[in-house]
Amino acid sequence: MQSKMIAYDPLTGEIRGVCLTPPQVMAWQAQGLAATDGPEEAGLDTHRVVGGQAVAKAVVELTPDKSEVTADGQDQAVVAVTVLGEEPPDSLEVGVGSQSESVALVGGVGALSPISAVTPCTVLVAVADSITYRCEPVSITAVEDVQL
Amino acid sequence: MSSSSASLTAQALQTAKAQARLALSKEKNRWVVSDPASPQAVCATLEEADNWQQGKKLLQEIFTRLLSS
Repeated sequence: MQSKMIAYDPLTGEIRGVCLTPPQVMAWQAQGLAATDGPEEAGLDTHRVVGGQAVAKAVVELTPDKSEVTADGQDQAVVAVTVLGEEPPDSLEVGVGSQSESVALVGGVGALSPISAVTPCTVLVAVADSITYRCEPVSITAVEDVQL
Repeated sequence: MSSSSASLTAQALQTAKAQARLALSKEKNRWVVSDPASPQAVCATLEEADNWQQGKKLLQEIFTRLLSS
């Protein structure tokens, strides 16, 4: 298996750069980053570094029951949260627009508080800790409440 | 930086700005979202005015908010 050099933040484990050719380790170190060997598939979005070893980020799935709601303050969408893999956490911080909510998990499964809107808008839902978790954000769009 | 990555960065910045502009509140364990710059929010704000002076003040607040968003 081919390996590559990985530059990472020694404080958070966040991978900042990968290199297949002879890396500029000194340049990375000058930026305060640490370097280690990692597997071929290691990438900024898919891996992080724990104890000097590149490990895959835990995958989180966000599943809304609907992606569009009526902007009437009543209609609402519920986003289910699932942390895949062994030993999921008891809770997960999930971002809603510019704010966040701690979602309680049982066996890696939970749900964000329902989302409603009073004006047309689009709100993004994403995992707050993108270093530890890999997650595709979802958006909930509120459309105008047309009453004829 | 390539034009495609610059475009992606610009798009990400625009998305972040739009998200920061949204007003979110938690009511009865439910998120309620609104866009203060939407026509609906502007009209709702103006309806709160009881007189011309209040309306003028609210209009100034609305334009300040729109220009800074």
